[in-house]
Amino acid sequence: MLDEVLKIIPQVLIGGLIFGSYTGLLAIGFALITQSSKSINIAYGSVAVLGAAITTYMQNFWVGTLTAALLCGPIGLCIGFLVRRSSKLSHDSSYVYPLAISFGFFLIIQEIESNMMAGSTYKPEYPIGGYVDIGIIGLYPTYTILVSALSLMLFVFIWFFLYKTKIGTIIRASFNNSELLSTLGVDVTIPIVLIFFVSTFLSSLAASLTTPIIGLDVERGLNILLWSFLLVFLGGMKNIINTFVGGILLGEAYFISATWLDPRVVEFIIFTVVIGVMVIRQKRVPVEL
Amino acid sequence: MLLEVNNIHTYYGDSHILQGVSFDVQEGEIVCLLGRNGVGKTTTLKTIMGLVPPKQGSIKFKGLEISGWPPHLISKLGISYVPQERHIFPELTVMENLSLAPNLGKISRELRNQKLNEVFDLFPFLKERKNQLASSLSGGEQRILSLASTLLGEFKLLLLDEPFTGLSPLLTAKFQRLLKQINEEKGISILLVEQRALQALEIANRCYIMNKGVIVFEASSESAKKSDELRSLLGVRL
Amino acid sequence: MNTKVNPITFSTILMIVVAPLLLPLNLLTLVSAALIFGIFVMSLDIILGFAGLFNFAQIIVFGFGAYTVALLKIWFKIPTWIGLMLSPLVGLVVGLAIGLIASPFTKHYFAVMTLFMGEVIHRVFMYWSGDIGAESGVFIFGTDVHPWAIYYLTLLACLGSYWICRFLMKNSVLGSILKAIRENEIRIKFSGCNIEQYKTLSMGFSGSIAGFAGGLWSALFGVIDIHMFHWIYSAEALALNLVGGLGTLYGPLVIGSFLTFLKFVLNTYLGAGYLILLGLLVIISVAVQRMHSRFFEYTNRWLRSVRRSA
Repeated sequence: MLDEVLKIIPQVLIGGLIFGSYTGLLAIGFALITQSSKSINIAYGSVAVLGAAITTYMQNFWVGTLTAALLCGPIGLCIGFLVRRSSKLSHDSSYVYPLAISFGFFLIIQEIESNMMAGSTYKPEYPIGGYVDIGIIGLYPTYTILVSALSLMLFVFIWFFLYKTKIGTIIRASFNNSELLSTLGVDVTIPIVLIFFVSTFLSSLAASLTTPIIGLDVERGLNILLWSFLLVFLGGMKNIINTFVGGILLGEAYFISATWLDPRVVEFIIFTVVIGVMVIRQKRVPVEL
Repeated sequence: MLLEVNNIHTYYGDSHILQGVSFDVQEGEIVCLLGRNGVGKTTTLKTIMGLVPPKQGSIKFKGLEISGWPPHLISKLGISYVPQERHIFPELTVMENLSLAPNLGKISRELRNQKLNEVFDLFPFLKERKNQLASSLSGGEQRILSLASTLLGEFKLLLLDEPFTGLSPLLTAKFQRLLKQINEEKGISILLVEQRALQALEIANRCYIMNKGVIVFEASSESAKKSDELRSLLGVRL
Repeated sequence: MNTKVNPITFSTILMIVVAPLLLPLNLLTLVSAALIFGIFVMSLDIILGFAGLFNFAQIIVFGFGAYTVALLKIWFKIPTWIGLMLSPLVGLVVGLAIGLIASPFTKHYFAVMTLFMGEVIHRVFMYWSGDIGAESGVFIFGTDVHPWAIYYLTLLACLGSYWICRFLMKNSVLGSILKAIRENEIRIKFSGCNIEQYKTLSMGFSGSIAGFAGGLWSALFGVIDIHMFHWIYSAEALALNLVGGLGTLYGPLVIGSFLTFLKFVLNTYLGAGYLILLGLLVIISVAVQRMHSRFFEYTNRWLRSVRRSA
């Protein structure tokens, strides 16, 4: 009896780590796009899921993933540009129009997706079969391990790129004060284009890669948006380490509770608790975009 | 003629802010642009820097027409701009702010380090706090950071928007000396907008005064200091 | 006094009044439903058009209003029209509750928080609908109000809620404060107003209108289901607001009703494309924002001249 419990605990822990790592990665993409466009991109999750949906239409999983991501990048670029443009058109304090633009795209893409998926959940086979023996923990699907290792690596890479390189400094400066940056001789469209494209590309990649693990349905877009927003709000928009670690912690909480509770109940509890925490936080230290 | 501004009209939406501004800055000069609040001094600098394109008029830098150019290209020509507010990157560290000086790529590594050390000697607190976030500095310290990181760069014309505002008298004097120094030693021309007219006139060669979107007064700083008209235009006693 | 009646206006009003005699029942039902949804859309204009806040949870209020009518009949055999009268109160309470939780947040975060809350509540209803007594989430309770009565009641509600909202927004402190919130929320916090209270109050007020619309919907069809709590309907209403003209009240009402009616009628042809169309309209109307607001200036002036001559 104890034997089984001991076996389950590490499995659950790793499961949480896996779930948390790609949730955290998606949240980071969300944070970057939000900082760059100065507006919450409601369509973020939906675009990522569009990429995942496109992948399912392709013969080869890997080619499909890459192609879908390459297709989504320009979509993210388009949305980002229009959002930035409209926040310059309207007078400074109006945030409604930029948000409305990403909202419009959200409607369009969600509708396209519900036509493509028609209420069913799609869960293909793992593209890489087989199991990995992790010592005492036992066997774990190779694919899952690979995907989470990739997420972790990407996270480290992004952090390093943003905080330890010159280009990273320029990109972070463009989030802060792009007007000042342009007077220093930097063409600010470059970091902005980069962020829009790369964040959307990565989010599509993450969604495609994790489809065999969690499945694909119409609601997933909103799910990604909500989880990303949650992590970014709690961890701090500018602090990607917090966001990622928070993702892992929350992933653990989710997985651990899901062993004896219905996962939907777990999600409900997590969301409710998080809403409570957010309200308390906001009352103490009001945060705005 | 280093900078020649001719009859520029700038609008913010429907507001006609600059209604035909004309002036010039010669090589090696320090020129100050004075006036009360809201007359369009900041807008003038922003128009020159390309942040707000003018609807009419021309701006020539070393004979080259630059009106309508984007700011980053204007910067590359050798014009540097220090704004009045939003003048630093709050979430970057002090050191990262300093690393983003204009045209830093054009100077060699040794020269860069030498300039950095000079700046650290002038303002030791920047060295002490170099890994702290710029947002943790006080208002005056941020002002110093923005001016210091500009000085690390390479440029021929410096546009300053109210550089002395918010600085203590000691620091103001320090900056006045600094500006005079780069003007005399390196021949850098300076166009400075200020509300603190006396401090500006102490280092400037010439001055212009703006009112309601146009230039209404021009004189050498010597005669300006003695002028009664100046007092009424600025609404202060010098 | 010489009051001349504009013939176009007169005949339009006449047709609206005798519509039940002219139209077949199912068409009349569709018209009523479209108008009810239009009222729902207008309720959001108070929040979006005046306070400048996106409220994705409004459909929850609508749903609660609808369920009030249904459940009172099913559980307690209370006649539909009593449930109908209670639905604005339920709407008020639910609106206030949502407002209390969401109002500390501003701008973008407010929008996502309402999205969050709406989704959580929606899932609660989805997963535990069995416990309330309907396995598939559908309640058939049989309304005991005549569709004609609903139709006239809806017309009254349209006019009534429009005038109440208009009066409130133009002449009250609440109206000015909401507009100030839209312009610059931080700034008015400094002038000592308790912004959150006003936000919450406005959500309660618009909630009562949405709740009443929900009650009307329920009373009209006699059938409701869990799926009406889905956030997509809030999204639809918000889009109709953006397209209809923020802050005008009549714009969202008229265009909301009209497009919804089109959606019902052309369902077989449009079917899956409605939201795509809406999304495109939203983007286009934002992109031509300057022209858009001028278009509504002209419409405003034309309507005023029509009113003057009527």
